[in-house]
Parts: sequence; C-alpha cells; structure tokens
Amino acid sequence: MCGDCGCEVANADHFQQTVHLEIDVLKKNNHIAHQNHHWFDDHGVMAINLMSSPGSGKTALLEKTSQDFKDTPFSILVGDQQTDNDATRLQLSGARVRQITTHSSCHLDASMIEKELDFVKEKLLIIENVGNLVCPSAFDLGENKRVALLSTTEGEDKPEKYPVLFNKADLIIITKSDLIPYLDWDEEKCLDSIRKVNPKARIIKISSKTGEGMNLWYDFLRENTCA
Amino acid sequence: MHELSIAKAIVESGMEYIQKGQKVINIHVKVGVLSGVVKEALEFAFPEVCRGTSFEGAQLEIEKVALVLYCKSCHQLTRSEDIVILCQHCYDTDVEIQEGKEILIQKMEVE
Repeated sequence: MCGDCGCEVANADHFQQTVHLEIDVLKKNNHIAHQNHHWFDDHGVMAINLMSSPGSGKTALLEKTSQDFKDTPFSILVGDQQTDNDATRLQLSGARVRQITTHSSCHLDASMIEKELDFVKEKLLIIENVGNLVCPSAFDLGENKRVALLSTTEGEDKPEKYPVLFNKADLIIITKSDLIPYLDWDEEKCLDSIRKVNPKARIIKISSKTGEGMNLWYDFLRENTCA
Repeated sequence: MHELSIAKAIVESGMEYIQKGQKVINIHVKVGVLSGVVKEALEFAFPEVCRGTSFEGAQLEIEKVALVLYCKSCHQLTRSEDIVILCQHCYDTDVEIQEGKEILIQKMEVE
C-alpha cells in the first residue's frame, strides 16, 4: 500500500507537494512587450496605444489626424475582432495602415504587434486597439505612451466605472466636444471622475468633426516624436 | 472576456514548473484590483483551458489583492478595495502604487 495516501498501488512513489512560485502570469506577453519596446527604441519609433470603448471616436480621430497632421509621417496598426472596415476608412484619408484582425480575442497582445513590426517604417506608430474598455488595459504591447479616449456621449463617470484602463493612460482625450450643447454632460463631473482614478493624466478635449482642440492632440504627438 | 487569455497564460506558465506525469491538484493565484481581471470570469474560463492538460480537475483559488498606495508626501500607506488614487491620510494624489496590479501564481499543489 502506498504510504502517502493509502491507495492500493504497492510502493507507489506519488505524493503531494506544494510548489511556491510567485510567477507573473503575463510574463510571456510582458517579455514580448519588452522586446517590442526595445525594437521601437532601436529604430527611433514612438509607439502610442490608443484605447477606448467602441464608438468613442478612435478611427475618426485618426482620419482627421491623417488629413491634417503633416509634421511627422506615421503608420497605423488597427485592431478589430472582425472586418477591415477601419483600415479601409483610414486608407481613404491617406493613412498608411494595416489591419490586425483578432478573431476571438477582445484585445491586442504584444505578439500581434511583434508580427507586424516589418510594417513600421515611420518614426511614429499609432496602434488603435480593439474597442473595449476592459481587456486591452491588461496587455502591455511595448508602447511608449498610452492614450485613452472618452466620448461625451458615454457620460461623465466612465473612468470610475472602468478605472483600470483610465488609470494607466498618459493622456486622456475627451472626444465629440461638438455634441456638448445637445447633451446633459457636465465637464467638471467628468474631470473629477478622471482625476479620481488618474490624478496625473494630461486631459484634452477635442472634436474630430469640427477640429476643436485637435491642435492639443497634435502638440502631444509633436512633443513625443521630438523627444 | 480577456480572462480566457489569462486562464491560458496561467496554465502555460504553471506547466513550466511541473514534471512529466505530475498532476496539479490546486493552484493559488493572486489577482490585484488594478489588474482588470474579474474573479468570476476567470473561474468560468479556467476549467475550459485545463481540459486535456495536467491541470484538468485542478481547483483554482483566487486571492484578491487590494490596492496599496504609498504617499510621497506623508509617507503613509493607504489600502483600498476601490480604485481611487488618493492618500486617505493627507488627501495628496502624489502616490505610488505598491500593490494591486499583479496577476501572480503564488503556489501549486501537485502530485
């Protein structure tokens, strides 16, 4: 009989043991993200990870940017679960863009970016993540800056409801400012909600439709590509 | 539902620390409130990714880790289950996140 658990196996050598680990579950993703980050550094590329809920205006912001921002040429990687609609839209606005279709995955991860590094020729790379306020925030892509978008139509308290994504952002862009006159949207309430979860983030307010505040976004791009 | 990816990563990472023929009985994972992982979603996804592996039938224990902030002004620690980046002692926002971001496999029981 086995001396450990009393089972019927004669002279069995199985026994339970506890393995103490403290290992990072995301270490594989973080390792690839680290390599991506080095690749960006070595090639002098500034990579920006753009995250927000679906429909908050990421693609519209990039369309407008492609049309107006001529200081630095840039490439765009755009992630969606299905279709290349966003890439097609962005190409029409003159952008150099490649679609990443994630299929079953609700976010981009570092390996998806690693596979597309051959596409990155310009000094500025903007990654439009899958529209989702939860999942993309957990996966480091190796980017230099994280930007979160929040549209006025989503209400003021989204940052408190989805704090993880907003907490990690370097810049938070309030979009669709042209709609403010038609909404019961309270700017101070929205800023309070952002500051609760990320007191240090830079906050700008824009409209891709009218162009209001777009110069603040371009300033951010200029500052970071010149650095 | 990125918890499916997290569950896969748990099994892949844990696999490196077990020997051939060993079976995982129990796995203890620490999940910080700032990790963005929903405990229930991870519990739901985990058995699916374990099927056909050494983790099949393993019990997943999830320990939630609160946010711990170190205040650079008054040097005190703030513990919070909610994500509010503010020192609860002096109300300064110049704080450093010490705990709450992690997703760690702390230990596994194998046989």
